[in-house]
Amino acid sequence: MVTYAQDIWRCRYFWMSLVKMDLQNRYRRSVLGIGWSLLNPIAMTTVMCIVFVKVFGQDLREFAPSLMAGLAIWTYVVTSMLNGCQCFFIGEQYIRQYPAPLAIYPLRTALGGTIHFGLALLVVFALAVYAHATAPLPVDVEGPMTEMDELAVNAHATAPAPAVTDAVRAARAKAALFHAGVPGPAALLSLIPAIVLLFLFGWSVALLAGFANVIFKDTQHLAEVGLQIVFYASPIIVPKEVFVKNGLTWILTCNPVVAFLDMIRIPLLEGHVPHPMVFAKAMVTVGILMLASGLMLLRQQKRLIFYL
Amino acid sequence: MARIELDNVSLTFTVRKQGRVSLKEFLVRGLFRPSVNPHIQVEALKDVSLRMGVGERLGVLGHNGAGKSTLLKVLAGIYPPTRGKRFVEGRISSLFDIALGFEPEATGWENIAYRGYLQGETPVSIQTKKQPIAEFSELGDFLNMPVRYYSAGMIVRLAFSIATAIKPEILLVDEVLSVGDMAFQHKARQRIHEMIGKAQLIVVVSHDLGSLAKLCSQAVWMDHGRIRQMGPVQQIIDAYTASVQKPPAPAPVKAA
Repeated sequence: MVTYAQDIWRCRYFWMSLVKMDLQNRYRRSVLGIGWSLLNPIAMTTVMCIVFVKVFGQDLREFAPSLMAGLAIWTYVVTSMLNGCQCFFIGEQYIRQYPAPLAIYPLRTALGGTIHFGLALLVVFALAVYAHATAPLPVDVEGPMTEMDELAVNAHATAPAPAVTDAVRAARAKAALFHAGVPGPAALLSLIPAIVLLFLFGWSVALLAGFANVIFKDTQHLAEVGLQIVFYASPIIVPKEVFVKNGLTWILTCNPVVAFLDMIRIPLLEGHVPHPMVFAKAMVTVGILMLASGLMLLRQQKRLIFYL
Repeated sequence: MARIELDNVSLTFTVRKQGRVSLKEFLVRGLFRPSVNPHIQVEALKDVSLRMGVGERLGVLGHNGAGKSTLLKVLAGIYPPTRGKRFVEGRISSLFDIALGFEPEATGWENIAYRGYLQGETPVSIQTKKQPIAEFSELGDFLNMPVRYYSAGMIVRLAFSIATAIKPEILLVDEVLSVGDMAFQHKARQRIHEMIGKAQLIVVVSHDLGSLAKLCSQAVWMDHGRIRQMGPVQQIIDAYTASVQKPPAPAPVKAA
């Protein structure tokens, strides 16, 4: 394992140049350059905000940054898996000429995806800071009922709630929490291990998907369908409260993507470091995937060229 | 110290008639015995044994499909042997299929860097080599253009210049001696001679028997995956030339 990592390090200039080349190729002849890669999440967020705020009555200031962060993470997961399926085909000409450690091809995919994710995250951060800065002033949780409170309560309730004061208190507390939640230095620092874990997750997923797609050519199609299912089973566009309210908490506990969503969203939107359990869950997921990748490399690395 | 040892190396490819298998077919195959996509076994190398030390220069010749390129790829470590042991010590530099590995959208200069990194160069070392490579290729201002606009000959010039700008310990050459126009061929032969002089160990595959005779001391004659004869280069060339009066048919393959 150590010698393998050393081999990967030894050809670092090669795969770093591939990553750089992928980025350059994408924006070589375009006007906006790297801006195009941000257009997709921004456009998706705008459209979904219009739908969800106007139609379903979600609070725009909370929803937009949360949605955009979720979409950025989801885009990363999807591109890791789908580009990962192709990574050995894209690198086929190198594989046939030069016996490099095969992990560098999914590494190329994961690094490219992480760079795009990092850029999207900057935009999310800007959006979150703007949302916090323009939020209404801190509210007095125990104060008298106002018209605004009635609107806030009615927007969130599915049926007339008898305990109006409790619901109002909760809505006000949430507003206060949101306003207080400009990310501090500790929260921002906690993003670093979060991004590292996300990168390792993407690398392992790309590696496993790459091997699977070479051995079974229809893996990519199955992955596309599977990812759609996981998308709707994750709190990306649908808030967590909806899952809990409908008794679907077990989906949230079983879904590995939830931990990664929390790790990134909580520091940015609520401004504090996530609970250690979130990190633990992410680390366990990454650990299992890396173990699977290691086993796959051990067994199939030498045989991959016969499948290409 | 460069060293090559192949002990009874065999390499069998398992090829399917219809490209790659799908997961659906893999699952169904367990239920219904006869498959619509059967295996074909291709024995590319059979019991090949080779021992080479420093200073040896080996030529490989034989008919098309004899296993010469496969032998080089096994030596380079690209294909693992199905049976037998492979032991190669020393830094391997290979010239196979030299037009492969170019990024079409990148310029000539950028491709020099990419190919350099593939061969193990660092950004510092490739900086010093860029100018000599550019001069050898004689491509001048074309290097500022994306490689997808190059002609085939220009690509080969560039690839050859990059691939031969390194200091090899073990050099594996697969039929790249016939490249480019006549002026470039002359330059290329000289460059190969220089590299061979610097390398500790070389293995050359070629159909150009005259070049083999000049470059190599020993030769090996591959025939249908086996070593038919091995010995001093002129002796092997004569034996091969004599046998070519009756060209052999390709080996039959066994369907599963």
